[in-house]
Amino acid sequence: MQPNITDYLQPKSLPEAIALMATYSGRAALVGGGLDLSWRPRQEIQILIGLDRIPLSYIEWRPEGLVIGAGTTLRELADSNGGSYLNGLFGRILDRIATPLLRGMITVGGALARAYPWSDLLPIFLGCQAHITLFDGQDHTIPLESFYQGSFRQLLKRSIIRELCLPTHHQSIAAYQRFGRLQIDIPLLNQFSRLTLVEEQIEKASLWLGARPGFPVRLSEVEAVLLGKPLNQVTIGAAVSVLSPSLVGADFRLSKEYRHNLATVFLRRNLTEIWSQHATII
Amino acid sequence: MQLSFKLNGSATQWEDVYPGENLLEVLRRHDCWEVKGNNCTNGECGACTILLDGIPVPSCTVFAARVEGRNVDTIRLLGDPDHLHPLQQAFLRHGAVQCGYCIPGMLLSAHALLVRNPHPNRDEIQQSLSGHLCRCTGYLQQIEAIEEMARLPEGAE
Amino acid sequence: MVSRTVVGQSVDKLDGPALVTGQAVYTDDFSLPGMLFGKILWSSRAHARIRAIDTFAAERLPGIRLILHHGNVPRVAYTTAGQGFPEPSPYDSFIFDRKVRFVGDRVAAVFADNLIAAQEAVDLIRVEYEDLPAIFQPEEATQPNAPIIHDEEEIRGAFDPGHNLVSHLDLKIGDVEQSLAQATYQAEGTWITQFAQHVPMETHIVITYLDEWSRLVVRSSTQVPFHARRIISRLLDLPIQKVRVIKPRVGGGFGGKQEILLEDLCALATLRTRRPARIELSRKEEFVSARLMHPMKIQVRLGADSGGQLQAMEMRVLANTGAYGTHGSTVFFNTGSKTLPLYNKASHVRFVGDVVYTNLPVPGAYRGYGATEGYFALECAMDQLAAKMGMDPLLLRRKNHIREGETSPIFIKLGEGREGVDQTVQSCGLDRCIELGMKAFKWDEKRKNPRRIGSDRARGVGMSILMQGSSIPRVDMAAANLRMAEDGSFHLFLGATDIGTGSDTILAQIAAETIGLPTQRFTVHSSDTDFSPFDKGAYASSTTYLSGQAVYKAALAVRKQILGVAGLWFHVEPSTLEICQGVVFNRQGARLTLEEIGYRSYYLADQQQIEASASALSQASPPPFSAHFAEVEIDLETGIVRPLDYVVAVDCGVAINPELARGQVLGSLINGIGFALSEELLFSSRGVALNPNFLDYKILTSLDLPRIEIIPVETNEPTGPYGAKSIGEICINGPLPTLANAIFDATGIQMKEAPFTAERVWRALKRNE
Ligand SMILES: Cc1cc2nc3c(=O)[nH]c(=O)nc-3n(C[C@H](O)[C@H](O)[C@H](O)COP(=O)(O)OP(=O)(O)OC[C@H]3O[C@@H](n4cnc5c(N)ncnc54)[C@H](O)[C@@H]3O)c2cc1C
Ligand code: FES
Ligand code: FES
Repeated sequence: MQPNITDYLQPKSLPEAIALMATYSGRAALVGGGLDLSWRPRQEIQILIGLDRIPLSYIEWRPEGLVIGAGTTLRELADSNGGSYLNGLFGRILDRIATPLLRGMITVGGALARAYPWSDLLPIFLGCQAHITLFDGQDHTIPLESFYQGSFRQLLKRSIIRELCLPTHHQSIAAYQRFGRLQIDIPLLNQFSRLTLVEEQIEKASLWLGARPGFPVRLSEVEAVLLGKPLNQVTIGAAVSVLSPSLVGADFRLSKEYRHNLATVFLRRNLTEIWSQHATII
Repeated sequence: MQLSFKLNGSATQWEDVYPGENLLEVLRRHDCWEVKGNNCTNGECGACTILLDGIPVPSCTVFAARVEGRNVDTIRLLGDPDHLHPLQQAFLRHGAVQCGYCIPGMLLSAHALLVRNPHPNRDEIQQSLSGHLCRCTGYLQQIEAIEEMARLPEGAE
Repeated sequence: MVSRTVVGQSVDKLDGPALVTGQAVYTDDFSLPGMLFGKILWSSRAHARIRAIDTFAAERLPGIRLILHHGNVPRVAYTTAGQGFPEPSPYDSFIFDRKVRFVGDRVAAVFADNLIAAQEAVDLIRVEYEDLPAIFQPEEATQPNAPIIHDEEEIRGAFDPGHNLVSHLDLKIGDVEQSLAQATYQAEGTWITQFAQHVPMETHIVITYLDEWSRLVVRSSTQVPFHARRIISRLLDLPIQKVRVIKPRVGGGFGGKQEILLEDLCALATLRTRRPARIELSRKEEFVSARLMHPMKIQVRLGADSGGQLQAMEMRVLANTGAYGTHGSTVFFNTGSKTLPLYNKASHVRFVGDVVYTNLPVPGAYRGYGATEGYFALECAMDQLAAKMGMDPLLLRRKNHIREGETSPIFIKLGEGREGVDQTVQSCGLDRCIELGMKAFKWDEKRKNPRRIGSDRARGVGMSILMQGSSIPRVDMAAANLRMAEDGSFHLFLGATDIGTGSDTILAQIAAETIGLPTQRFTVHSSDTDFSPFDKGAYASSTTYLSGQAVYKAALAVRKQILGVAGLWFHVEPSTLEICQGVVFNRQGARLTLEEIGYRSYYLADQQQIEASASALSQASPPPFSAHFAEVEIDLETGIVRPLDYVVAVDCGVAINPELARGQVLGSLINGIGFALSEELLFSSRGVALNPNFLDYKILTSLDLPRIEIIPVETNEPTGPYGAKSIGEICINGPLPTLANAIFDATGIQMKEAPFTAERVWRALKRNE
């Protein structure tokens, strides 16, 4: 029971919801799955704006890629053919997020808006160069990376996430590793690697490190080492060696030193995994 | 605030629901004692699980207002003490019930799994139970009970 | 031997149908009009004197009915430990004190018309603290200038509170120093265990109210209803006659509910307002302010001759009992008394140690009760010794473990915070446990496998052997009352406290077997201090063994009465009659149902109530035995340890209900694996718990299981009911040493600090490089 909450409103369209956000600015919160407010109640919130009545739950394959409505739960996503994205890797990752019960609650929009530094989804979405569509009276589609580079929390005070688009990347292979204390855990470090290989050369690289414990970062230095090289033991060794310990930090869960070790191991394993997958494709 | 929904198949209307309440609180306030929990209130133990339109979710994380017009099922869906559902009998046969506190939630997850997939394999069974913490049993008993159900011919559940 | 029809059968739990259908059976599944909701204000300081408490603003909130704090409650020194009287734990607690001793200690309690008001009022209470220096490391507790945590005048029963010592013991048999010096092989190390919590799925909860006679009724999720009644009565100066404790179904206890934690506050609220009152702990409160497992540092030294015969064993314990000494000395004594007798061949033994106060949350009773910590050290030291000798660790244990007909000097020297009771082991299936366990596990085969898997993985196998006890001899008493209704069904009234273990069912099986009818004919009532005969409660692995003896005796007496009635009916000697499936037969095959006997004795002739009460006092504590085997895989680059295979062979005498016995093994095993891999409550440098929630205190889920095989090894314990011993605790002691030994086998590294988190293992691997 959150006694400060006086109203639960259920708009039927995005414009209606935006109008409500404007009216109750500063004391209203959107409810996707609603996990965050049940977890950390906020005293200033008096009005809840539920998104259930707005048709935001959909998964579509469009020419530009996989489009996911913000109201889609992770469970719906995993049960749909959306899981086949990244050759099925996406589905396998979804199966490891939180618990099956929570996956029935967590929405893609909620995860994007809350943007926990330890999110499983953000390194993957960022690593796949996703686009996000925001509605503030009109739709604006921008790269997810620039969304987070800007002051996205300010932006979200007057806009609603409509959908996310995960572009199709031909010839690209991805791998993902996460560390948890037991099978069910939030990630305490995760690494997502995606490479595009053309004629044995690494043409594109998109590598992200999350739960460092800070917000995910792009491993640009590592990417620079990889680009233009053939993928082999030597390249992987060179890539791993430039991974800076300053990218990771400590919390009571893991030390900085151990996180750095994990980052190194995960990066090497992901690149090796991509290498071996590439070998089997040829 | 008023709340109208289907509870275990019957149309239900409650007048005194607060907008800041979660479903677990509202259900227990209305004597649905079969929904256990209210101690982690964070979706992490699974004791308070209900089926929302057939999907198992922790009721402590569902704002009550969200179930307006929808179907909520509790463990009453399955059986009563004199007419146990075969899944409930299988749980008892396999020693899956000790203190019993986690059991209504686990049964609902198991039931939802079997409805979608009558012959789940062991991995799928372990997955489906993984949102439920049980400190008494060791999980193997529930897994074996569900495996027994999974071996039954179609529709027998 | 008479063939048994009920004992040895996996009868479904009698409360099963209610539990699987979610009936309103737990303490909280219940509401009373006018009920007050209580919330407790917990200390934010690790060690401080309370200068002032200002409740002015809190009292003025609407709906606030009562605020309790040290200024308005009786001041009586007591222990929260639910133990027999007089309790071996020190009287060092007060309902509220003028001092707080850990972050999470009680400061005040608010009772209000609803929970929200109660919480708001708690937040409005202003406390002025005078901070005192605090102790967070047990080693610092006994330093010369250490702050004194318990400086109250009234403290009784602690060994030396002026030096923060709850208990101290130095027990010597023979001459350990000399024997160690002469031993061909020695092993030595210090093993460290963590703060772990019981994590019952139902947290502590109490509801109190006055009945129509103005008697206090306490509905509590407790393991010890009778001790609760006695302690409440003393604390509140209320005659025992005026107190009734009801234990509904309990959602798990594991030792954590062998404590009186909330009953006193609710009772005070009800007595003062004459309204029902309720307090339920949140998950966070359960982690911090309920009870934990005693963190220990245990140094073990072993000496053996050239053939591997143990000559000397020394165990030095430093146990941290947190801010209060509840169960402190008894848990510590058990660390020695439940482990050292296992290797009774060593003629030189020393057990020495201190139990100290610190300004951290409070450990109490936890399934295993000190043996868990002791076995971690002892069984890892055994593997070190085996490695030094180049001997198979299994063989080393076979040479040294206790056997049927043998005794140990420890039995008599070490009891529950005092001297123990001499006993000879009359049933021991340990050799068979080892034999069958190693075969099922494929020990020899697995030991021949290469340790290294690929470039970054290693596998290894480990084992350990264990014993526990069954009840506290010459202390524990249990009673039962059995009454027949006219339809030939029975009411079994028990003080024994079923907390999910299935003891109601097991005890009904013992009665059913004894009389000769199916278990379904029994209705079991446990426990209600108004109606149940006394039983000390659910602890010390005693319910099946001891309460079972009481039930057996009562059932024998009832059987005799039934046969007496039947003898009059048939005009024969009762001894010529038999009862089978609820029907009495005479030699000619004539039948008489229990229903006919019931109606006759209720209404028709020689009217009498067929019923009997009996009590049993424990005379011995026959140990159950077990052998554990595990294979683990270690990721050498990350330190992640994954248990692959786990085999348990266990001797609990005759398993009255094999399925329920297996359930006890599995549950304790999984909890023990949690100790080994992940469970640990962490603290900031100011003593604030960092992870009192499921997000960061990780217990195993269905995805973390190794392949498990459990092998029952039956023996017949002559002192137990139908040959039974205990099974509730023993197996929680296995995973720490077994998994540590498997890691040792895989990597050559002895993990000496639990839990073996990936980071800890990785650090150990790095140090070893
Ligand atoms: C116990 C637990 C374990 C978890 N484990 C994991 C894990 O392993 N891995 C992982 O990645 N995550 C994990 N999660 C985190 C989960 O992904 C986040 O809590 C997620 O933000 C919840 O989604 P939601 O739909 O419930 O969000 P909500 O609570 O509904 O919303 C979160 C925020 O986003 C805003 N919002 C919601 N929808 C929109 C929208 N369409 N447009 C704009 N703003 C919006 C809300 O106003 C709110 O501020 C875990 C969460 C919990 C509680
Ligand atoms: S109480 Fe809802 S999941 Fe724990
Ligand atoms: S049976 Fe007790 S928690 Fe599962």
